[in-house]
Amino acid sequence: MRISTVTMYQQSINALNQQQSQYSKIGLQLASGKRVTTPSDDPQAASQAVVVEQSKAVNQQYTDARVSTRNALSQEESVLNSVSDALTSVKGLLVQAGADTLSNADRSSIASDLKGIYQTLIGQANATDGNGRYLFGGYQDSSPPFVSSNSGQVQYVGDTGQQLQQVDASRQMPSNDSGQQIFLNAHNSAQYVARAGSGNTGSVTFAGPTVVDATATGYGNGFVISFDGAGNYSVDGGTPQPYTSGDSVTVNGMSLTLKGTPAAGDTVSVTAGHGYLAQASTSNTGSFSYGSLSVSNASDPNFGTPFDIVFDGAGNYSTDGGTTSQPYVSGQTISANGLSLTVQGTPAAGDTISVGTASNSTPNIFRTLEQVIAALDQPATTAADKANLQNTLSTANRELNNSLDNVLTTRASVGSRLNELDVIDSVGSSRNLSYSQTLSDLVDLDYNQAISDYSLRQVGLQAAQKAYVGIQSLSLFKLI
Amino acid sequence: MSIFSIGLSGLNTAQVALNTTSNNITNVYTPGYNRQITILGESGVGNGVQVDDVQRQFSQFVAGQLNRSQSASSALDSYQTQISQIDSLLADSKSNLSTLMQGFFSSLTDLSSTPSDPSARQGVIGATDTMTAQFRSLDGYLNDMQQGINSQIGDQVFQLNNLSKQMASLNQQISLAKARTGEAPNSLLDQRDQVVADMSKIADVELTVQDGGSYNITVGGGQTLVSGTNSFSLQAIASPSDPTRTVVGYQDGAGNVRALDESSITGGELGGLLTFRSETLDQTQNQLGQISVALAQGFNAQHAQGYDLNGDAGGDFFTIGQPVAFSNANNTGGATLSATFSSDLSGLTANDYDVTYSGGTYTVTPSDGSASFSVTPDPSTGALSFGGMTVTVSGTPQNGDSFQLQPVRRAAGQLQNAIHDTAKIAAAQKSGATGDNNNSLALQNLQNSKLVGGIATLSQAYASLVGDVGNQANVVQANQTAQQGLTNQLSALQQSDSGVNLDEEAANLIRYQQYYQASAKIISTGVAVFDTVLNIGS
Repeated sequence: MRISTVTMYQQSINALNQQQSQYSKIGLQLASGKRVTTPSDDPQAASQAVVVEQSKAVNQQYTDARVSTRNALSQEESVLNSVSDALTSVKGLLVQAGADTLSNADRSSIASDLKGIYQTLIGQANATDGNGRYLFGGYQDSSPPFVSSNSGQVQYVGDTGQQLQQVDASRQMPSNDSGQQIFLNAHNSAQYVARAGSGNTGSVTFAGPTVVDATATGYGNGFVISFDGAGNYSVDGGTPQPYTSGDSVTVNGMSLTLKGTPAAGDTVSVTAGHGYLAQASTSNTGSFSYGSLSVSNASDPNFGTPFDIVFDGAGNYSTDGGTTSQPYVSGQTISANGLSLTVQGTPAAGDTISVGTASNSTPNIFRTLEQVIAALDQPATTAADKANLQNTLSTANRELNNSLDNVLTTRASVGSRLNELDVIDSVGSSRNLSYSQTLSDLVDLDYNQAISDYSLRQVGLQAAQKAYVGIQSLSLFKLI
Repeated sequence: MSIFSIGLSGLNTAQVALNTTSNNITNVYTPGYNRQITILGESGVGNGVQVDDVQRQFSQFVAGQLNRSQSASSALDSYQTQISQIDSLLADSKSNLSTLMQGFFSSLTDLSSTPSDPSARQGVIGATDTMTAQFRSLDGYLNDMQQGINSQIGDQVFQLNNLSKQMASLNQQISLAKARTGEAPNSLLDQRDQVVADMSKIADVELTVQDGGSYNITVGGGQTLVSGTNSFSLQAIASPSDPTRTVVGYQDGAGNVRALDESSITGGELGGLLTFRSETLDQTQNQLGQISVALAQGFNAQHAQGYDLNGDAGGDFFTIGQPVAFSNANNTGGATLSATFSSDLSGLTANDYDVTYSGGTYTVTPSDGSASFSVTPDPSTGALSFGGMTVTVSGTPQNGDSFQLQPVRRAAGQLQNAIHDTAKIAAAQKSGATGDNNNSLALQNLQNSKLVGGIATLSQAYASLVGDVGNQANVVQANQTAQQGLTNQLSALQQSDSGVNLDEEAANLIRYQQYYQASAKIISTGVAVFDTVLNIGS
């Protein structure tokens, strides 16, 4: 074929251009360390890289959330340690205060020790994090959750909110526990608490209660023992029974030992330790019973809110006032607001069980301490005074045990959350490594290959340049 | 016939041949130049030599093939120049949208950790500002490209019109020259063929050679640009269906300017621009818009379910524009459409919609080429619902009236952060609960929700935008390389016939020089012969 001079030059130039552009492309790849420098280099890889980068970023978000969760939980744990130390020392003081040999002045000095601890506890309960946010206010983290009222009593003004953090793809971990949960709560296995009536004038004292039959009908329900001052007592206003000092009274599967001489109108009440109570309506017509109430989820946002279980007699029940109803089967566990209850039997239409806080048994460690301090400050001279002091200490002791158990349980839960974070961390970091690896496989450069290509292109470019010079020097005009 | 006149004819012919060779040599690099060869013929019987023709080596067939191939190459070149801009725009990993969206959601993680902390809240506002600015800047870049294409269409049309005028004038000069000498001057023919080649680089023009040798040129499916000595102009006009868009218009005999279908010009730089715009630019801008609408609507909906630090329900977190609707300029009725996004985003697509009214129903044609469908107005409100929009018609349309709806085209450019007060971020699910982070968690988890068209998360949608542009750029690049190879090959073929080879011309130069010397020798021999005769008597 005839080749025109222009074609010869053009072809050489084309070859040079092509070599040069490939050479500079590999140069760019080497400089950036990336095989895919623009999406068009490898559209599939570029698009996949966006998705993997997103997964990696989300993984990093979980890591960040774990860091802040660990931080919050560690602060909580350290406060809970101090709280449990304080409660332990209160226990020691209560034992001391119970000694018969103490004078009023001795008790008063124990009381002032307790006041110091009480203030410390309030301080701990109002602890803040580094940002000035209150640790134990639930969602109300901008003001102190425990405030002293005019009467000198400490009130909780926070809520039961629990912050959840997205610490892993499918794990939202609570990063705080509310003051309600820690200081105003008892574990659902807490012991029952007996309390002498505040207006008792006799010298009746009690020991217990102890659980003797957890399967007894009505087990878990509180009851009130009242005395007529004429040697009789009755339970919940029932038939009077003769009373002798040292008697054991057994009601609802619980037994209580009573001593001393009660006056007319004196009472001893027994309540569930954890402060939640289920009560059947007095107008119920169906035949059914329920077991003990237990806390199934203390982190439920509505935890502690009272609710009614309403039956329609047609095999359904509702826990939200009839808005939604669910089928009822005898023996089933009904849960709402973090509390659950087992119901058996056949309820009639309109039958209800009210579930709520047992008002007189709400655990409150501050209230317990306030009562003990008040009792110790009060000189005990008469038998009634002494019985009153004895009863207060005995109730306080039981409540303190419940509270300490509760704090320790919460602390254990914090500890196990911290452990879980460690486990998720190691999974997270290996996931991060695998994302990085995938990303690198997708878009990063294979340097060995690239450097070898680079030399190859260099040779190609040099050859094209040689060819150009060769063609340029070939001309018949040079020879004539 | 005398030996002198024979020798003279040789000298003359050699001179013509040397001229032709010299002309070839000097025009070796002239664009559009076609090699000429001197055709020699015997002059009568024994009368020496004569120049029959100085012939232009030109093949209409090969030139036509080359022009068509060149036209396709130019189209792909301009397509590639444009798309590589978007390709590099998406390549920057530090400032790209997915990185900034990740930053945005990661600021929400911080907010979830400390929902009432002012610095965490400020962090969210900062990340939102950065992200929305990048959305706007990407859209701004793409919109600048739209504007750039509008003005480039004007330039190309202007150049094409100039070439049409040149062609008409060359047609005239050539026919005049033919009438005068019976022969067309080679240089004019070269110029005219070069004009055809230049026009092919702008658009895929069709050449028809008339019987008299005059060139007629048509473009865009039969619109005449040059007919003999007359030329007709194209115009760059605002599209009747979207006044912000420049399209190519053709003035018909009655003086009416009619917009040419955008798909009727596919070749040349102009064709490349039009194809890039409708195939890639619109689509990319719409995809980006779709992501921003999904982000804004999805986020606002969740934000409204929460409460801010003042205990108020969350207000709009982002502001976003509404769909844009245009009435066709040729409509006979006075109806206008206006559209709002409906709350269910799953129907929202990256399409534009052409809506045509006829007899009470509206036919909707999506821009992705999927099947048209009919929409009847809601009997009570009169509104049309499709594509994640509620469209309100005001005024009365006439049969055949059409409208264009661009739901998301400029949406990314209007994405703004609506929250500037740290207290107004609704992180809580309960009013008055400063430590409540439940809504913040829900907002954070939107990054895993299929917000875009109900089928993709935000980052998946962005990944598919990147993949689409990358694929398209890749395909265009491959086509361009292949087409360039074909063009090079055809160019070599055309040059093998019409191009000058300097070695060949050097040989010709020697050849014709010797030919000249030989012819001169004839004359000197004639002189010698005459001298001999004259000297006989002396």
